[in-house]
Amino acid sequence: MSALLTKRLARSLWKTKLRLTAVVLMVTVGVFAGISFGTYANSTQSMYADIYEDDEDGVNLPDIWAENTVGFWDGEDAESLCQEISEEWPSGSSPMSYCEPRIRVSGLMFNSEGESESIIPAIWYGIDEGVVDRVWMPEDDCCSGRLAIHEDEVVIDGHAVEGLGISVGDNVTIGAGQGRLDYRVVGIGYYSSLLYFAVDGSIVPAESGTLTSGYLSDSGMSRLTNLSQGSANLLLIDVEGTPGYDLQDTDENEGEALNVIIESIESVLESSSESPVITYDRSGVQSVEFLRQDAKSAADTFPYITGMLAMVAGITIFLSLQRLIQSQSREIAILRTLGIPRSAIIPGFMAAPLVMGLIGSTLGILLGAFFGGPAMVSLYESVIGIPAIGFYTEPSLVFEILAITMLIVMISGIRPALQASRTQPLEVLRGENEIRLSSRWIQEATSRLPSTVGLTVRSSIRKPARMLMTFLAVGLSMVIFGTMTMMMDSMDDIFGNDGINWDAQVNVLPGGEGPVIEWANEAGADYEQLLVFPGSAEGDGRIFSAYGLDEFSTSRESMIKLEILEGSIPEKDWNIPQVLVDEGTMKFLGWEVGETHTLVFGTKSTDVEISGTSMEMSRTVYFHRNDLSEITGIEATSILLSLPEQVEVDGQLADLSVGITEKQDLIDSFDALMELQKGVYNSIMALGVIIAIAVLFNTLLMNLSERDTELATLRVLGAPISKIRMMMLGENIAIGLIGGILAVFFTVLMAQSFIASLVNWSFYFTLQPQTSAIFELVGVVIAISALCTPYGSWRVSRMNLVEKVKDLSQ
Amino acid sequence: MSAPLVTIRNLERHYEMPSGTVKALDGIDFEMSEGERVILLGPSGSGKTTLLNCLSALDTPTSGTYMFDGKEVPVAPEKKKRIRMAINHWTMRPLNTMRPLNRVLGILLSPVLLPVWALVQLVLSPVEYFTHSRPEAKANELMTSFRRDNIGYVFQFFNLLQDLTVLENILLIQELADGRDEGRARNLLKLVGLEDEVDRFPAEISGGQQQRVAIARSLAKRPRLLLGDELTGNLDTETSNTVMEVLVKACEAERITCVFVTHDESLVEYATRVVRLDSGIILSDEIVG
Repeated sequence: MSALLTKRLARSLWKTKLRLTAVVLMVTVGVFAGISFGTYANSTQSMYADIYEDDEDGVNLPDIWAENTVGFWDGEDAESLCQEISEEWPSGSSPMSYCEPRIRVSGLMFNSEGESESIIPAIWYGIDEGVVDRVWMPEDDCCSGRLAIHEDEVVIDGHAVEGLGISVGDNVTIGAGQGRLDYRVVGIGYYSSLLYFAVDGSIVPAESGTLTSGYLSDSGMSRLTNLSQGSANLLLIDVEGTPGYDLQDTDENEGEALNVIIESIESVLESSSESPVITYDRSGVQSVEFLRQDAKSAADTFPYITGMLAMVAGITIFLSLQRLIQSQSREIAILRTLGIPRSAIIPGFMAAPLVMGLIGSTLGILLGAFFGGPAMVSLYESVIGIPAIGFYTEPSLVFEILAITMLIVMISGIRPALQASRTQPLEVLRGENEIRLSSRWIQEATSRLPSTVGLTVRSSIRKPARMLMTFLAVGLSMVIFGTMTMMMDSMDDIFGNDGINWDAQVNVLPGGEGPVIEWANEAGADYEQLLVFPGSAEGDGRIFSAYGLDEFSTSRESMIKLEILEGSIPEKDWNIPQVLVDEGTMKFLGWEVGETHTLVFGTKSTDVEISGTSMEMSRTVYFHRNDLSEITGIEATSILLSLPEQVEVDGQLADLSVGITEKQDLIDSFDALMELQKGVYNSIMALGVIIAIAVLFNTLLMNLSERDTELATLRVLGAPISKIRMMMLGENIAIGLIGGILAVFFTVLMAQSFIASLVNWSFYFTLQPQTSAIFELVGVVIAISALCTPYGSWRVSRMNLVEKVKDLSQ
Repeated sequence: MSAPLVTIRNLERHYEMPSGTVKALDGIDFEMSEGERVILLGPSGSGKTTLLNCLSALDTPTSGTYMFDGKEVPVAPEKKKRIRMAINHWTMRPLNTMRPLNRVLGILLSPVLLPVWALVQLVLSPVEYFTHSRPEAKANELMTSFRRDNIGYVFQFFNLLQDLTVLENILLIQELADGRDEGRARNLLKLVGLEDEVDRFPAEISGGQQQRVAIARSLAKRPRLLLGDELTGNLDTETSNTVMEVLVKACEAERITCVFVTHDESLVEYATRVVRLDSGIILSDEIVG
């Protein structure tokens, strides 16, 4: 490799500083995004594994949960069930490590703020032995204190303390349908089932202060619920080793070994438990599944995002080098005439992308490791609400990203290098390489247009391959922006609170609905009873929520508004109960409207006919309440209230319930989440826009440099800058329009595959491309493209025409 | 006698070079009447092209006056040293002119310096735009407007737009001057003998034909002064003569004043006046036609 030849090339490249900067910037953004997302994906995966681990710092997450869906086992029954499960443990399976009964109840916390009192829905856990599924209290600022030992002690969940202003040593008043009791806060920690802090069935994490959770001793729980000590509604079963469990987002059954055990446990519980019981593995725990899926989709996505951005950078490097070769063809031809071999020309052109890639990557790595990674950590802590322990950028990730980027960048340099080395000296020196006959077809197609327009069109498509590459780069660069816009719109559509028209949802114990209805009648409030019960399809372990509704309606005025996608509302009193099933469940189970299927509720099963499909994020099956009541033997699990003006949820109502959810809290949580999400998406969108600006700006610079002679000729002949500006504007708008349309195409593809990687049994939504989003996307590309025009016309207006005339005469 | 079309008084054009001041034009006094065909002769570096550039308002004289049809021709303001130019001068120093330590530092810090440099450029751009570029651009536009209204220009290498046909090359110039007139364009092509080539692309016709298209293009907007820089320099003798005959015929038909720069003494026969320059001054000025 000749040092002088390389130096010559470096100097030539340096003359295109702005273009170089744009290219380096694109590499930087690609690497930055890769490092930032990669840090997030790798760190979350290892962090959850550490939290769930059975060691000093971990919580020993169970492998199987058996849940009593309607009542409680007393201490003796619970122990005996564990004993039976152990005795009936299938031979040949991994041995049982531990079976621990636990109790979980819904309840309330009464938080006094001066003279007023707020009622916060709560989930209380009674922990007896605490061998399995311990409270997570890492050595971090988030957590302090110790576990609850005495009957008047509680550990409060770290998600809730900030919003409620609680600290260790405070007294709190809580309840679970048996009046109010005071407890002393002895610790602050987290619980595996609530790391993603949302109630079961809700996709939206609760805003701090709108939901709380606490971890009591067995005696403390007995005091709160008035149940005997040792009572339980959950059996946590830990299996030795780390048996795989069935991932809900795949058709494959990864948890076959565990399935044998689950079947055995189900058989034991069916014969020995009087109450219906559901049994599930880790994928059935919403928080565990959400976080696993989040980390997995981040891990799946970041190589593609990095690769895509690197590809955009690669395309622009390729185009820039090609342009450089074109402008240097004469020099290269002279060198070739002087006998410089091909092998001496290639290395320089290969080294150029290498250097650009390395500079861009170095900047990207520094920005990603010092800004992107920490920003992702802080974002993670804001959304998930748990301390991000062990977040750091691993060297292997840096190498992985660097390798992907450099590979793409290097590939982009191969063709231009070969092209340079294949320069035919005679052809170039005769000027034949610059003569390109315009297409007669295009000439005819544009012959009726004004010559200025015709020239613009023909110049733009003079090199169709380059033009297509440009459009591809523009389209790809906008994919991130577009995907985020479309996803936000789709989520906004499904997440929206349009479907909720009640003011409060009052949870009651089975048979406890009467007093609440009485309260509603006295207060003049409208009410509807709601029955929610977990169920599953026969032969499928995944849990859905069966909703028993009094009224089915798609009207905005009804308490629960349904969005019907296909079919119709279920008919009442049908031979086989008719149900409305959400589209996610339909897709995952491969069901069709009109089919009949068997659903399992604890130990009971029933056939249902699917009358239609509804749009929901969670897996939901809607019944007429009477039908579901007949199956489960429960009238209602909550009462939905529409309160008249001046009437609010009060202490009396709170004492009658085991938990109240107010609509405003849901809206606040939703708004807070959307705000955060928008913050993230805006940042990602900004990245996309930066890349698009760089690509379009680079295209403009290349067009300018390629059309230098043409523009100079026009200027010398007296073309006013206003006309040239209009020509450039027209060209840029056309590039923006075509690039924008391509961007929409790529975006829909990308968003669909991104959503496909994101959705799972617990969380499902589909892309709803809205016209406004499509126009926004195309508009942004056109705007960016059009905004490049002033710079271009400014460059043309500053042309040194004396120098240009000299060039034109040489 | 009618007033001269072009009046130049004590015109100077100096260039500041590292080696000192180069006086490309050093006090030129010159007048031209309508319909004259002037040939500027002289060795390389004599100042003929600089004079042509001043006549076409591509370049701004350092001093002196240039009146066209009794009116002063617009000029660009004098260029001042700019902050950004100074920064660029400093930052763009070749590495081999730096001290070894600075060179190493420059390479090591390039990932930081490059964005800083880009940022500085970004910040200074608007400042410079309002203080320098905008006034300069306005003046440039006045000069362009003068060229558009009065000047026709023929290049040595024709510089036809390859994506436009012969006819479209002429129409384009008319459109840019706000006056598309296809009939005139076709007439001009007939005048230069190319009425059968209207739909051909430049690459499909010979060099001589291309130069005739360039002449037709330069006449398209009825200029009062036609300028040509070595316009036959790229053609063989026979083709040169054809082109010059066409040009003379066209200029006479349109009553256009012409100034041609050339090294070729044989072209004198097409001129009415020959001006010889050397070292930026007029050596002789004689009527020949």
